[in-house]
Amino acid sequence: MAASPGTKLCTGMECIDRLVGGGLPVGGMVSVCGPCGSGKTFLAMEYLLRGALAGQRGVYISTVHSPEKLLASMPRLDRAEGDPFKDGRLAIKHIDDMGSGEREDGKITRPEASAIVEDIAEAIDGSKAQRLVLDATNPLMLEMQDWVARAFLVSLSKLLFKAKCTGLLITEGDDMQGLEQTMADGIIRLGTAVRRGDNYRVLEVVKMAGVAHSRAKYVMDMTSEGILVTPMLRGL
Amino acid sequence: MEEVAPQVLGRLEELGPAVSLDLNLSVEAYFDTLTTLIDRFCNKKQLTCIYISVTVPASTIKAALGSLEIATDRLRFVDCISFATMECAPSDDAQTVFVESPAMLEYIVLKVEYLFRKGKGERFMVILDSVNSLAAHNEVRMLYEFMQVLMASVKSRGAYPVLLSIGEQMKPEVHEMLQLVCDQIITLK
Repeated sequence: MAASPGTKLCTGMECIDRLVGGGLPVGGMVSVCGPCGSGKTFLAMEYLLRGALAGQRGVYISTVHSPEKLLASMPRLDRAEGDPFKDGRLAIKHIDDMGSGEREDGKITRPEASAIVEDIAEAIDGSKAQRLVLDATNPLMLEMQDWVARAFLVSLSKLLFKAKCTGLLITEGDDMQGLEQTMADGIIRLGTAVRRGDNYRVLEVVKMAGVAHSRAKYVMDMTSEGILVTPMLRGL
Repeated sequence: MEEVAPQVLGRLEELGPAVSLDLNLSVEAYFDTLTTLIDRFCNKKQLTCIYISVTVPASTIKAALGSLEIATDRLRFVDCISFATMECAPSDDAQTVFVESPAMLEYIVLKVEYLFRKGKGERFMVILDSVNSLAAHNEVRMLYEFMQVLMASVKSRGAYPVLLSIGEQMKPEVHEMLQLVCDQIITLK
């Protein structure tokens, strides 16, 4: 049975749950976008680790770094129990190592895009995942024509909703006009704010379907207790 | 000058936790006040002390307390000054977290929150040393907003919030701001 509209997945990350009224839409596709070094991968990893702590399985699909490299730079959370990647609560895969394999000509056709969605479906089904991370979408989108990319995202969105699996699509860059943002149920934007020469990591919820969410900018810190946020001061 | 310790201890006992207290002191009373708060109040009551150091680097305070054989194992520092002087060595000291600049007020709030979470189940005192130093790096309006957020966070944890200020060096607008954000202001005589 597909996810019921309006039901929420409590992520276990206070920085997200508090800002979006309790959690992300179950079976939703949420875009997390921002430039290099803004904390996207950290946020995505914490999302899966918090899920594992709550007994929810998850899959991390990388389109860039190898699983070995990602595991080596994995954030360590205080109070985490065991290694969820070793005991099977979480799985990590590279897109090229999945069923449809690496594409050689640098272009993803419609059938190949469908095959990627099938690979993702298999990964979700195989591990009974309730949480998915696709990091990052840019390499895939770059290799797809617009209409193929649109069809890919529509299929992925349908798949997540049907599987009641809540997905984070990680997108590199500040562009809010991308297809991922247009088609996402929610958008969390990470970035940098500069005040008097100092750089601040900031997080804002741009959109979250069906929720009266905060629109404020929050300064964020990445710690062993996870991502912490506080409203950016205005000094008015 | 009257002894500082009885005045400070008496008022803290009277007020209890979650009441923001500004200790308006003279330069001469600074170190006595510090040792009273850390040794005779926090250590005695087994409180974890989160010490926001804006004036003096955490390592200097720790060394000074150590030379008086005051236990520092319950001290946690949010050091806002060492980064600016390139004297921070995060890997050397598990008791200290660093903020890059005293002007990055939100990160002070976040580091305090981080230390609260690290010390889950512990009881806390949070000392801000000092309001004067923070005022030197920040506009009063920004400082006012910061103080409100910090005090709300500290009080909601049931901790003792203590601000240190040097009255003789304080601008009138900073004093006004303190009157707005503090529940009690005590001038140590």
